[in-house]
Amino acid sequence: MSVSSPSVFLLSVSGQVEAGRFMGGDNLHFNYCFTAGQDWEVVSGLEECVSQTACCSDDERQLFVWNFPIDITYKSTNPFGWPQIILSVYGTDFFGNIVIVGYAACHVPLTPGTHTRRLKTFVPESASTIQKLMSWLTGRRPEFLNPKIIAQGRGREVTRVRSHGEITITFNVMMKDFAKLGYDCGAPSKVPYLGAPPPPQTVTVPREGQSDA
Amino acid sequence: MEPSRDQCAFYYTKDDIENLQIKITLQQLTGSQLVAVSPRVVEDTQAGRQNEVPLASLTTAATYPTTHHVTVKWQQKILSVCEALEYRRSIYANDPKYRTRHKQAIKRRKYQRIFTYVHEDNYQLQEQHSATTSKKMEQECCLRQRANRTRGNDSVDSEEVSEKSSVVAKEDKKKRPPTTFQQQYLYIMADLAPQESLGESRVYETVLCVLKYDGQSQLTVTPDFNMPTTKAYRLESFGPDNALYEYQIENVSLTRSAEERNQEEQLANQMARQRIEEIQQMARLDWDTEGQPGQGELRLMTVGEITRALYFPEASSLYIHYALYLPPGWRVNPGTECEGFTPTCWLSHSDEVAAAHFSTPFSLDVTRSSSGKGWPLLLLAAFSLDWFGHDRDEGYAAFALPASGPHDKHQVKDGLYQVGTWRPAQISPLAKMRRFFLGGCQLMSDPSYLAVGAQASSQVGRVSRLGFNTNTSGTIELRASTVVQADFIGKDLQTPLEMPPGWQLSTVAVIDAFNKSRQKLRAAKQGLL
Amino acid sequence: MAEVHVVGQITGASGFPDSSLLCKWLLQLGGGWRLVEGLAEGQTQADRSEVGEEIVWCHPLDIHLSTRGIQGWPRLLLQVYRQDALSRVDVCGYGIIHIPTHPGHHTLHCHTWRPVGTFSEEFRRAFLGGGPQLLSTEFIHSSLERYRLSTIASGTVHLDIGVILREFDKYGIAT
Repeated sequence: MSVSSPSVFLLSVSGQVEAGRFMGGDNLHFNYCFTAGQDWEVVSGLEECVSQTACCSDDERQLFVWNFPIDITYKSTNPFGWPQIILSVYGTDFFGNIVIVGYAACHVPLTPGTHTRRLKTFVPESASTIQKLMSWLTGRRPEFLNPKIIAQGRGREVTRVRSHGEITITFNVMMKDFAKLGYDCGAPSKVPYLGAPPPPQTVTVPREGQSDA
Repeated sequence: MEPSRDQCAFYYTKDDIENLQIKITLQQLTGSQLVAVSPRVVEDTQAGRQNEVPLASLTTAATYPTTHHVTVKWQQKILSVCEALEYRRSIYANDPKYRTRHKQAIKRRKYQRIFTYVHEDNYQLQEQHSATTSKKMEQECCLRQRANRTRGNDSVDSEEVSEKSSVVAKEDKKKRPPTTFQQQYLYIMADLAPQESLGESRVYETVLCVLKYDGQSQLTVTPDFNMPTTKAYRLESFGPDNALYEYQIENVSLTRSAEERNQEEQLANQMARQRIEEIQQMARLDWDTEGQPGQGELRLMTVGEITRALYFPEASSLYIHYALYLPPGWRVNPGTECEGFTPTCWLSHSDEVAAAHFSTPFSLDVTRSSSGKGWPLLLLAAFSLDWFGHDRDEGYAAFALPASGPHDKHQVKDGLYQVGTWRPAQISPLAKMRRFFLGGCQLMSDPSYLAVGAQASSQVGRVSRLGFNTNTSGTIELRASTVVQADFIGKDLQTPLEMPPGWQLSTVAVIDAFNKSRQKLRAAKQGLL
Repeated sequence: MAEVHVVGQITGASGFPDSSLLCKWLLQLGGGWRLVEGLAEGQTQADRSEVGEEIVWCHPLDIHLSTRGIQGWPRLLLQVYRQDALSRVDVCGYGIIHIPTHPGHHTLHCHTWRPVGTFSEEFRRAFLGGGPQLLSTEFIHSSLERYRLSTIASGTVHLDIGVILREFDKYGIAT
C-alpha cells in the first residue's frame, strides 16, 4: 500500500435505529448485524448488537422507540459488497414465548451525509395451515436459521413471507479517499459539469511554465 | 446454586476454529456402586452381635472410574459406548468408510462415558425433527434439497468427504466463498447409564455441551464455559441407580504466538493485493473510440422510458408514437431507434388516477457536429383505440432531451419528467360530435411543426401560432437520464451548458465562449513568454 | 476502463390487485459491457401482504460492471408474478427500467403492464388463473410489432438504486 496514492477507502457509518411501528406486537427488541462483501473489513465499531426491550407507546401512534446507536467503520478496496444492515425484531406472543416479529435489511447509503430510511419488515410464513396452527400453539414460529440470508440475492426464491410493520433508521455517512480512487458517488458537494446554477467562470491566466489547458 | 444448563453464550473468534480445545471433567457424586465401595460396618440390631459384612475389596473401585477427563478438539469424534460396540464388529474392518471408526472402537478404553457427536452424525437433525410438525417419512421436495445444497448441509456427501485427506478438505473450506453459511455442530455427550448396563442402550445419552459454529466467526456454546468461580453443572441420571453427576467445561484452546500472527497478517495482505489485481484484470476493458465525437463535437446519449400516461379521461386505451426530431447539423449514431410505438394499454385505476402504464424503453444516441444548431426533441403523440378499433388522437407533445443531471429544474424528481399534451381543437359542434361518435382524428401533417421554435430561422424572425386552437389533454410521464461526451469536458475547466426554458437552446454560444477563453489564455501565455 | 457499480434493492410493490407476489429481475447489458462481480438475475421472495398494503421484497442488488463505451446502458427487466396457496405462478406485470446515469441514490418506480386477452380469457384468469403471457421478453424492449400488443396497466414496482461511477470523466464524459 503506497503512501502517495491510496488503495483503500474508509466508510464510516454512525446513526441510530430510531423507532418502529408494528401492529399487535408488544415488548419488542431487535438484533442488528452488519454484513459486507469479501473485500470489506471492519476497522472498528459495533458489528452486532442487541437492543433493549421496548413497550408500545400509550397514544394512538403505536410507536416503539429504541434510539439504539449504530457506529461502525469499514475499509475496503472495492465498492462491490457494499455493507448492509440486517435487523431481526423479536417480540412476545400471547403465551409469552419470544417469537420473531420481522426482518428487514438495507444497504448503507452511498453518499456522505445524513439519510433517513424507512424499512418495511417481513416475517417468514408457515407452509400450510396446520403448521401455522401448531406454530401458534407451541410458540415456535418459522424463522431464518441465519438472518444474513436476507442480505443475499441467492436462494430467496424458496421463501414465503408476510409483511407488516416498519422501522425508521437514520444514517450519518462519511467517506475518506473514495474520490481519490476514481469513484464518483454523486456527493452533493461536487459541482456538476452541466446545468445547475453555476458560479461565474473566471479565466485563469497561467503562470510562467504552465502549459495551456 | 448450580448454574442452569440452558443458557447459551456467544463468542466471536478471528482465529481458526481448528485451534479450539475444550476440556470436560465429569465426576460421579452419588450412585449405588459408590455405596458398595465405601467401607461400612453393618450392625445387626436383633441379637446385638456385630456381623461383619464382607466388604468389597478396594481394588474393585479402580475398575469403575468415577471421574472422567477428556480434551476435545473441534469436530473430533469420540465414539460412544454403544457405537464402540457396534463398530468393533469385523464387518467394518474392510469397509473404507468406517475403517477409522473401527480402529477407534478397538482402541477405545472401556467405561469412558464422555463421547462426541460431530456434524456428520447429524444429531442436530434429530433435535430439529422433534420441533417440526412434518412427518419423518415425508419426501424432501426439490426446493429443500436445492436450499440444503447451497447452504452446504447436504448429508449425503459428507461421509465421503470425511474419508478424503483432511488437508484437502481444509483447503476446500478456505476456498469456499463466505456467502455459503454452513453451521457446524459439535455435541459433547455423556452416557449416564448405570455401570452394569453401560453400552446396552442409548437411552441414557445426555447432552453435556452443544457447540455451534456458523462458519464465519461466531461460536455458540450452550451451556457456557465454567469460570473458576462458578460451580460445576449438575446432572441427574434417571436410571435405576439414581446417580448424580457433576461436570465442568473449560476452554483450553491453543493460542498463537505473535510471530505466527504477523505471518498470517502478511499473508492476508498479500491475498488482498492479489484480489485487487484480479478484479482489476477482470474489469479492464479498452475504451471503444467508435462513436467518439470529434473536435468541437458534442455527443448526447439519453436513455430512459416512457413510463405512463395520466389524466386522459375520455380514452379507455392508449398508445404512444414517439419519434426523434433532429435539427440540421445533428446526426444519429448507429444503434439508435429513431421512432417506435408503445403497446396499447387499457387504463386502470391502480393509483387513484386512471393511468396507462407503458414502461417502454428508448435509447437515443446523437452527435452534434460543430456547425449544428438547435437541440433534438422527442416528439410524442398519444392515440386511443375505441371499441371499434378506430384510432383517435388524444394529445401531442414535444420533449427536449435533457442536457443535465438531476439538477434540472424541469423535472419532478429523480429523472422523472411530466410532459403536458394538447390536441387540435374542434371548433364547430358538428366536428365535436363527429369526433365523439365516429372517432378519427386530425393528424398533424408535419410533426416538425412542434419543433418550429428551435430552428435556426427562428433566431431572425418571430414565431406566431395565432389561429391554431388546441385543447389541453393529459400528461405523459417519462424518465430520462443523459450522458454527455465532448472533448472539452475536463477536470480543470468546467463549462456550464445551461438549458434555457422552452426549446430555444443553442450550444453554439457556449462553444463560442469557450473558444474565446482559450484564445485569451493563449494570448496571455504568449505575452508572458 | 470505466466501471459502474449498482448498489440497491428492489424494495417492494404497490397497486397490484393480488396480494401474494414475487418478482423476477434480469439485468440487460449492451455489447460493450461486462459483468465483473455480482448476480445479473434473480428472483425475490414471495410476499403476502394485507389487502391494500404494500408488498415488501427487500431484495438486494449489488452488481459491478465495466464498459468500453456508453452505448447499451444497463437496464433492469422486471416480471411480477402472483403465487397462490397451491404455488402456481401467474404473470401479473412486465416492466423495464434503465439504471440512472447520474451517480448517487435514486428512488425509482417502475409502472408495469400485463397482456390482456379476450373476455373469456380474462374471465378464466379471474377464477382459475393462467392468463396470456409473453412468449418472449423481446417484445418489452424492442419496438418491432409492439403496437399490436394489447395490455392493461398493472401495479408499480419500487426500487432504491444507488449508482457509483468510476473514471468516466477521464474519457470526457459527464452525466
